Amino acid sequence: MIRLDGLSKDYGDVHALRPTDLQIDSGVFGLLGPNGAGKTTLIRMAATTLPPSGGSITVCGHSPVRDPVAIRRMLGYLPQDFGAYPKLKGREYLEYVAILKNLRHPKPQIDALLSQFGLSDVAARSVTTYSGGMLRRLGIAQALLGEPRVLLIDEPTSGLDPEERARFREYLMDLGGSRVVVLSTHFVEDVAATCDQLGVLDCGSLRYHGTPRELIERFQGTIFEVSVPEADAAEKTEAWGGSVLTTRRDLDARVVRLTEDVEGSCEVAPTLEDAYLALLRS
Amino acid sequence: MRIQWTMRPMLHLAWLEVKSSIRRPIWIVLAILSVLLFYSASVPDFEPSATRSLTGIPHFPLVSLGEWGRLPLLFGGSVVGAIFALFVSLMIVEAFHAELSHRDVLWATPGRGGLATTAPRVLAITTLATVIIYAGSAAALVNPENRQILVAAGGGYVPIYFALMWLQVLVWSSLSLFVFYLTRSRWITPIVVTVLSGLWFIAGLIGYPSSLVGLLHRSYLAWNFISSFAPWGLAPEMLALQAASYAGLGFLLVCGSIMIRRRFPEWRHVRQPVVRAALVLGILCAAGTVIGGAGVLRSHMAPFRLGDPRFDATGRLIQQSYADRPYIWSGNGVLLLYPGSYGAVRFLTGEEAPAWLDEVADGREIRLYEEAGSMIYMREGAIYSRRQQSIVLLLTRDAPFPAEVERSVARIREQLMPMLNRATIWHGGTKLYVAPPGMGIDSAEAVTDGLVISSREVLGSITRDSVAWALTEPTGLHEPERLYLYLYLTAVWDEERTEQYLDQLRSAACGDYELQPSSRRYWTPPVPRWDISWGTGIATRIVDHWEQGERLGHPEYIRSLVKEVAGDSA
Repeated sequence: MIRLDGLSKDYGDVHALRPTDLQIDSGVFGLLGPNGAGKTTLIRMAATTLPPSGGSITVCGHSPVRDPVAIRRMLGYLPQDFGAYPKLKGREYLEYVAILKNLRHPKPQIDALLSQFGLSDVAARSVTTYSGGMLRRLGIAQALLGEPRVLLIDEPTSGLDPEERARFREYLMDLGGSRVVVLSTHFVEDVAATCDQLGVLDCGSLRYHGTPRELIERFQGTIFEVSVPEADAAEKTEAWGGSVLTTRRDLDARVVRLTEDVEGSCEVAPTLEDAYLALLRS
Repeated sequence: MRIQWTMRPMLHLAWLEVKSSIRRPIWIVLAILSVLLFYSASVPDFEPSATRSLTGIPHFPLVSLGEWGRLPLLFGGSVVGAIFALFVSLMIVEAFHAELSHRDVLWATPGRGGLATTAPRVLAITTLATVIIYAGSAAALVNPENRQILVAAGGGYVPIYFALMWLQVLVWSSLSLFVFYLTRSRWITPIVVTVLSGLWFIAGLIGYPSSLVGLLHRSYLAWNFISSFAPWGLAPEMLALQAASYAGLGFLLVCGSIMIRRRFPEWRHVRQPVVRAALVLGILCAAGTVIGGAGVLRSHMAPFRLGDPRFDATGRLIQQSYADRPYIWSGNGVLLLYPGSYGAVRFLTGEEAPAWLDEVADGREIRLYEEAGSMIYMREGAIYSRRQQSIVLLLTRDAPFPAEVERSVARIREQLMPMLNRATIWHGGTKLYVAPPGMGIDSAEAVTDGLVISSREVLGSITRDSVAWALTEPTGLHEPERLYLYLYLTAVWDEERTEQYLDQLRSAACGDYELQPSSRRYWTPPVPRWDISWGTGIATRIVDHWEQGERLGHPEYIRSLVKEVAGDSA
């Protein structure tokens, strides 16, 4: 339902998104990549807020350039820098967005969304008093107003505490179904927990497109784990260089995962994070 | 059904904007400022022939609800307008700066912050600011100086005046939006709007005194010189055109704001054909009505019919001239009089009225009011001369007064005129007049055949007592004698009180009652030097004068008193 044909975006000499082909169908699609990979650029082009430099993009058959209003009518969008209209209360803000979306009789929907995202109790409070998590929940609620066919969610969990992130993932899991949900994030756990399909962007290029399982399978047999004493950890990880994926502490030792079979290491089943990092390193 | 659906969300959006604006503190400052300004200053009567109208807000009292309704409008045309513009601008900037916090959401909606979402918010803030200014202006009504003479007349005009003020505020708010999208600065915008509003006012003071543009500008500042005598303005069609041009200007500035923000990357690809069409409409409306207004003013200029004016042997201009209807403005933009059928002539400043004036008056009693001065160039043979001339209006005594000033006029006729008539005794028979408000008369010298008391002085907070006391001043008598005259004057409207005063004076003369400042509640003539020591001798003198006056007849006795003083001074 979202189709990219050689879509690109340049800011002068900087290639924010290199020519990309991609097809995103219904379900939750995770757009994974480090900061500056071009995720937000892609999302904003799909949201009609940024014109492409080259190629084309269609959302449910409509071009954001030629027919942006048709896309906006079926769109729910939670931007990365979501800020609600200050001085409005939670419910008023949703009423405001409902007007912008030309919704008739939005009250039942607003009530349901406030309840669904645990905001009913604070609906009469000014949004300026909301915590980061509450603000994000309000953001997803406004995006869902009008029951959009396409939902674009940009970095919804960044800045949230672990509990709020876990809670948010639960919301995201229920959002798929018949609609297209594009979730842009740099948290692998978010994608692992919620996405049916996955795209990995790096430096403006699409490095992978498929299911999370396929990505994990691609790196099956290439991920190793070794435990080294804490005292030697710095020296050894430096020696292994670019093959190190992650390190974690385990009592007096450090457990290192890497893409190289080194002395004392053993092969392990890759996680999505391993596969993602290995992809970026490859 | 389609219209209902379109209007409902826009009204809801406006209501949300009102609620969010109320949660910002700017409106409270505007409200406090309005209360302070309107409480301390009353109606500024905009009379371009009187320089005070433009140099400051005179402290004139309200006389009617109509004047209260005009009050914010006239304030808006003064320097206070720049202050109001500042706060309106702050309200707009605060509201639209907040838009930046959720702009991505806004841009991804079908309307995308276009005219349908921007206009209701501007209109909401405009309405809120207008309500605040009008609510603040109600402070003028609770000012005791105003309340004591306030009448309900003219209240029917208030909704119209409110609508006109709303349009004025719309211009400020839409200008603020335009400057905000032009500069994208929440700090520069209020400064620019305030400076522009201030310049608009100042240009009316100093600019182009003898041109149609100047007259048009002043007419805009003064809402076509609306007053109790001309509640729809001097030319109602001009008032309507001004209102339409403000609406057009507001429309074009709002549309212009939406267009101008397209220069920023995020708005660049927003195609807004409706806004473009509305912008063109706004430009046509604003420009058309301004041009139309200029045409209306031109058609209302008094066309003086003059032959070849010339001087007689004594240097007097003998050529008779008339101002044709509607006689509203002279060519140099000076306001002559409120609309009506009046004759007007002009002759050289300082000259006595020419004999042919009786002919003009057509047997009716006339009063002459000097309204404006101008220069004329004349040619006598080979000699050119440049002389100052006056434009003089003739107002017949039976000219009607509008309902708004009826009570004041009744007060003049019933309470002040009888005193004035009595005071002619020591003015050598010179007739004394009270000029009605709105006549543009500032000084007693304005009337050639008598002394005029400016109505503003007697209609305002100055009491009848103080007028009576002031009338005794030209006699040159000492204070006890002036008090006698004062008692004689005030007896005409309150004989009982005069008797009460006399009883107190008699008691004081017998030493039974000490007349001193502490007893002022019983004895209230507005004698300026009240702290002088009042002995029995002074009380005796006043009582003696009164009794002599009773015996000989007050007019005769007063004449002899005044003559005595004149003889002494000679």
